[in-house]
Amino acid sequence: MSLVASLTLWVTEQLPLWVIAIQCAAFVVSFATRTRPPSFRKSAVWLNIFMVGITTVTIRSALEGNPATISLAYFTSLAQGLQLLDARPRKSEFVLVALALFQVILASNLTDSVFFPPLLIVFLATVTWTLLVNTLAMEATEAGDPGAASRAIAPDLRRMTAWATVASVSTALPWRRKGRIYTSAGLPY
Amino acid sequence: MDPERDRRPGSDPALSRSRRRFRPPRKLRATRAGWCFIAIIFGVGFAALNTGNNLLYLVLALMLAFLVLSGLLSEASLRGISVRRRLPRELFAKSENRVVLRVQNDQTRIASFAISLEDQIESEKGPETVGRGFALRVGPGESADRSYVFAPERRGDLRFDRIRVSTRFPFGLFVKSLELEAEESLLVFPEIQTIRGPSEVPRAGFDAEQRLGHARRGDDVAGLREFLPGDGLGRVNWRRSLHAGRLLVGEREGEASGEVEVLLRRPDGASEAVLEAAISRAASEIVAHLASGLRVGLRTPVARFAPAEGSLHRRELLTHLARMTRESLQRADASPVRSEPSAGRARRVAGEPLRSRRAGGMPA
Repeated sequence: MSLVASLTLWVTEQLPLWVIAIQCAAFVVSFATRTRPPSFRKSAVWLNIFMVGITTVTIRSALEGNPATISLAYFTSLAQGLQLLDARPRKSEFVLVALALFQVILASNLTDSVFFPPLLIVFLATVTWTLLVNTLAMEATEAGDPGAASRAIAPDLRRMTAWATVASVSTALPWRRKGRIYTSAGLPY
Repeated sequence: MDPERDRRPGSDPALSRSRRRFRPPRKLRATRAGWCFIAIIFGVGFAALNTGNNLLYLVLALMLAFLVLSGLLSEASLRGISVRRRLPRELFAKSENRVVLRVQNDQTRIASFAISLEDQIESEKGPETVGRGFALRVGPGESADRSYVFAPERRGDLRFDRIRVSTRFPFGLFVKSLELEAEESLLVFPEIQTIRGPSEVPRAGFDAEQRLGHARRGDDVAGLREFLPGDGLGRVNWRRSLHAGRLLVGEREGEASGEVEVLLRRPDGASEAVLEAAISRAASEIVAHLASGLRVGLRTPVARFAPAEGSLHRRELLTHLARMTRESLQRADASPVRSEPSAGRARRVAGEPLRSRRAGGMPA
């Protein structure tokens, strides 16, 4: 999900290469060390230092005269990388989902690429799956059986994800058309 | 405990009754993540309207579709769910009792996910959750047993109310719940304390007393007791009866072998806690002595039960103690003590003052 969300921003060609490189590094490190995270991934001090760095980059981008959307794109990309690195125990992954959603929203503002709609549909499928599994894991943890969530990942859950994605897209299309008509009618030119 | 799930409006019994009548079939509450999602939808909506950006519209439409989908999937999870409660045969106050909730998914195709169950009882403050259960997945046509430990606070009648079934499935944005009617009444017996043996039983005291009948043999008269329906006239001790002003029957040694009568005195002016302790002590003695094979009777200011044994008799004595109130004790002062024949047993109520029997002598 995070990778797809980042891809939507990368296709806008508004992010500098070093931001993409840092994001990729964060993906690789977090994936490679997911079973045995190094100490800096669990240290609040290190993670806060990274956060200060991200905030500085965002402010600097804004002061350089970039549009707010681009500065926010810097922020969401780097913050997502940091969130992936953060290996401290947490209750839910909603922050990660929110950051990914913000990236998609920003990307929709920053691009008119033909790749965006297919990426959006892939994002929808991944976010549906992430939220389904995350909700089950959260509920299982709350009920005192954290291992139960993995047992519940059965074929019917995958089927449900596929069905939900198709249903979302088919439900979204009429609304989107309606929105466009209204917008066109409201425009003075 | 989940505060988001527990949050509910204040409850007044009359209000809750009218609420029950007009209750919607489902309740929906947004979680914190759900409120954030709704706020983002509004933000994206404003942005889409102001900019006229097609892709923003697409994102907005997908977010709205996500909301609709969340409603559909959560409904699919709750539809066809039925819950049956299985209560223990006997429920004792302040002791751990296991209550089983059987969740059944009656749907033929769709599995139910992340089903949370809350069992509720009726209390003075309104419906009160006493136990929870959770089923991560209940397949189509399948059932799952979940249990919880319930320790009732006090003895007396207990009314189980509804079972609340809720789910955060699929995206954790909303908690959808439905309330299933599962009213059931049960009597909670008094708290049972550990009694190690007859020697541990207090010989005298404020709360409960007992009399041990020793295994004696012979035809000597061991004591006197009140005449009961079923006693032959030949057994009436006329001289003593005239003296006492009521019919008394001579009890022979051997007849009272292995018998105990638990006496519960009326605690004058004592606090509720003392009364509860006395009732609990009496119930504990009844259970302990019956378990050790003795025939047990009960004498309270309200009623007298003849010594007997068996599960029916045990239940009868415990039921009497479970329903005893201070008011009923006060009312009993004005009326004579009832004699309760025990079900299917010999109708014999142990006689006069306990101390005279304990000493083994016949009252003069």
